[in-house]
Amino acid sequence: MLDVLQGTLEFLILRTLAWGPQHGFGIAKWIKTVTDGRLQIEDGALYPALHRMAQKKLIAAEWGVTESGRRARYYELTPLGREALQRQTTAWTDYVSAVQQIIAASTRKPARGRG
Amino acid sequence: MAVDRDPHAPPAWRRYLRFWGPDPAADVDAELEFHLASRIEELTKQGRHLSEARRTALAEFGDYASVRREVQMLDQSYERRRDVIESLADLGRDARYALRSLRKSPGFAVVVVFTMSLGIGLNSTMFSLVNAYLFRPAPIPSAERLVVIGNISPLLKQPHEVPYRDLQAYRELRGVFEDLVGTVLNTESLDQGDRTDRIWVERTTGNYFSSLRVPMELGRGYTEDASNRGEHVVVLSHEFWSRRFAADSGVLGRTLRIQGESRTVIGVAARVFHGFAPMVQSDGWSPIDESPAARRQLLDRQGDWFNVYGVLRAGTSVDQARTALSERSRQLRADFPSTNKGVEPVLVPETRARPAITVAGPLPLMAAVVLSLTLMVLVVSCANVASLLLARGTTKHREVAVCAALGASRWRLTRQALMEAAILSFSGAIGAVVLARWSTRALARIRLATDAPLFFDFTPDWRVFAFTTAAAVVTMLLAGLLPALRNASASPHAALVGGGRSATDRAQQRLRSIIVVAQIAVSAIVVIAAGLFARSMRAAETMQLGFKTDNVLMAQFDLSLTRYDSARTRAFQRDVLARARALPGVENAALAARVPFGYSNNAQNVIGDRATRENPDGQLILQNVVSPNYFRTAGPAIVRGREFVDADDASSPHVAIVNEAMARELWPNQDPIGRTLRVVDQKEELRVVGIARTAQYMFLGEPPRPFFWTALGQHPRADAFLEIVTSGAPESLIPAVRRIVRDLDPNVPLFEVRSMKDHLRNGRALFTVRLGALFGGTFALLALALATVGLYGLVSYSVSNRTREIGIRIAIGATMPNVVGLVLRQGVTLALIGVGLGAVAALGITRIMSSLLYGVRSHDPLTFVLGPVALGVVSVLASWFPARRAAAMDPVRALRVE
Repeated sequence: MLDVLQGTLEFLILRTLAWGPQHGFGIAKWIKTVTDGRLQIEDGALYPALHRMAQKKLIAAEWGVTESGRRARYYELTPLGREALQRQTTAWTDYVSAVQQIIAASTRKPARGRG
Repeated sequence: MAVDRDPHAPPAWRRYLRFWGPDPAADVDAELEFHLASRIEELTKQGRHLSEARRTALAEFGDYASVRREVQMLDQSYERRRDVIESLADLGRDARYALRSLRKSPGFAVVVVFTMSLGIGLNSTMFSLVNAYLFRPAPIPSAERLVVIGNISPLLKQPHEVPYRDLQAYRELRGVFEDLVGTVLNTESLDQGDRTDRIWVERTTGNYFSSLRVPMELGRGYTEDASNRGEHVVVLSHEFWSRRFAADSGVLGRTLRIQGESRTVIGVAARVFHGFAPMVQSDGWSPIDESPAARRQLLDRQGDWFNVYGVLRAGTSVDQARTALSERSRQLRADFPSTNKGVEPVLVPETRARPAITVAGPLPLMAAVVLSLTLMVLVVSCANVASLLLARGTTKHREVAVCAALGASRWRLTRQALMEAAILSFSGAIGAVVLARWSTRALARIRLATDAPLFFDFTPDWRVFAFTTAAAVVTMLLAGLLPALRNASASPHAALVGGGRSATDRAQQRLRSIIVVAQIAVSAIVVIAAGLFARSMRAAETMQLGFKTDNVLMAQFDLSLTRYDSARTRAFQRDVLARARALPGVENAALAARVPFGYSNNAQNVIGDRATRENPDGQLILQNVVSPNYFRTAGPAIVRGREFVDADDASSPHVAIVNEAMARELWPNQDPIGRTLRVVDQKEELRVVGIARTAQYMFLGEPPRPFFWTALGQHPRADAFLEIVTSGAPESLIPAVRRIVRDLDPNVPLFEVRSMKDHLRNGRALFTVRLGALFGGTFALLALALATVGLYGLVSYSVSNRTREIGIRIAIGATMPNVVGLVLRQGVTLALIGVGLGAVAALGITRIMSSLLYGVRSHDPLTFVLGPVALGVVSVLASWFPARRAAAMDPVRALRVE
């Protein structure tokens, strides 16, 4: 189980919404499903993040009706959010590959000597 | 659903507020509750028990209450930020919209802004004047506690300066005053080597600079030590220092020859400080001699008069000071009955005693009347603007109706109309400031007929700007609110269906009619008030003052400037008189120490021969020293006895001439000829040899004032006015008079060379009356013009509205006079109602002015007839042109008009 940091949560939300508009519950569920529950996020933590992102105009919120006929607040990526997603995807990919290289490297012994 | 609710959550009914706008708190609840409900549903579908499902869902959610609070707070602060930004954006949108729509009708905008600029600018100008005289504090610290003290004597009946002894007695009141200073404006000679100049120096008590805390530019002011030691020092005014010494700081320590003595320059006063001489820019300040011997003389003599200023102790009220002062003066009356009998002190805040306590009386009333009249002009111009905006509202009727139909709120429409008015009145205010700057500068250039260095400063300060802003806001509200409200109540349906001719339209027409009536009524008041001022000026100009005013030339010379001794002075004065009389075109000539309505007066404490030790009738009485022939030349008529002759010289018994008012006061029901009187401090008795008719001496329309004359031959003095009576235009003799004096001694300068008429018309006597008439006339013309434009606009508008009707009338045979009559009737009816109302109101209002009027009553019938007639004529003209246009209309084209 990993603690999810604030910036990570934002990335996850943006990534989720790339599939299309979704309400908070849906987003939480999707994250759980995709990560097989490995990223344990408290559902409540999602909402301040969502509202903050809406105020930053990364996502837009609108009230809608679910398939079961309930009123729910749907979030959707804005053009600004789409850009942010792209940027953060690149950043994450770079980060992950860098970390992977470090992990791969640590299985070999670092070369000794002074130069 | 029983969620663990926040105990501080708002009650459920608050959700209904959503009907009026978004409620972020309720939205958050709904969103979070949806989440929990969905999760619980999911879990129960998986077969969990409801209560267990609920527990699980809440556990997965985390701290519900704190999440809820956090999200709500986030939303609220965001909402607030957005509200501010949005309302600013709305305002910007309104402004852009208003500017765009104003650009589409530039004529309208220009007329409105011009009208407002006139109305507000006039008010700012007049307020600048009033501000300079009544509001702007003196440029010293604790100016708000600065007071002026004068004395009132029974026969002089008005405040005058205070003798040194009284000043010293008042100074003892240290409980109420920080200190009191005395100052008197003198003309003194400044020797410049090759020439002698006359400068205006305030001679003050030694404490002047220290107790008033006068701000300095350079050096320091003198102190009481200087006057107690009789030191000869001078402080220069900033203006004099810049003019004469090119603002050279090396002037400190230099010695100037002033009045024949060497005075060391010890300081320069700050630029803002002009001294306390009324309206005069003093050139400098020097202490009087208060060394023990000189002080004893000052205390004994009654001939030295001081303007007294002082700073109240913090926390002392004007009333407390008055009480203390009158207590002290009672003691003075008991101690010095021969000089202080009946003398009462007056104390007023300095701002209420401008330009000087001796002449300040009617100024506040004058200011109030002038400001009221200008405010009336502002109201008239507001009415015009309101009327124009209303008319514009109608032209924009369809546009507004479309906006309303498309869902613009009433508030939004009102706001847009107000925004338009705000932009217009803001532009109007800018125009007003420009106008006021120009006109106050022009007014400051007006010169009174005097050689004294008069000084006017009408520079606007924050008070003027505050006033202008207030006037602009009032204008906006007066002119903009009514049309704005009418806009808001526009019914889209009626406007779109009815094609603009509707009941609202008629209601609007009625409203504009009311505005025009009000406008004409207010104009009538202004016109009548102005008429009264004009009539008063005519009356004042032709008023019998009791002395000769036509064909009199005056010129002043002061032989102390050239340091003549008494023999030379006598010879020079005799030669000047002889040569002046010999000039062709000169009928007579005489010398006098003072001219009537001059800038200074002499007064003496007089004891008549009826006085006893128990009842010493010492009274302050105005006096002049004159040469033989004075009465025949320019003076009032001698009704009994004789006037001064050459034989009245130092070797013969001293004589006096009194006026009838003085005779009545001192010797009621007795023949004054042969009686004697004595001036306190002078040992010679004066025998009355003649009685002159009572004239006016100081103020126009003053009550009969006692006055007496003594002979120049017996009371020699170095400064005198030459007065000559000419057969032709007095000005034509100016070069000849100058030549006479130059021939006798080129070093003797002449001052105040002008005709008596000029001296009266452009001097103290008539200046305020003429200024009042000038202001009144300007206001009246403006009000008249504005009201005419208003009436013209309304009649033209209603003609264009009735195009079809008039077309039909012409088509079925109405003649041109019929149509003209129809239109004229409308305009003239409104004008008559307005004029009638205005005249009635004026009857009440002008009564307040009555004390400002000379020789004309406040309900002067001629004014009350001519004023309304003028308005009537103008309003007929204003309606005539639209009427002609209506009558000349082509009925075929008229009927085609939609």
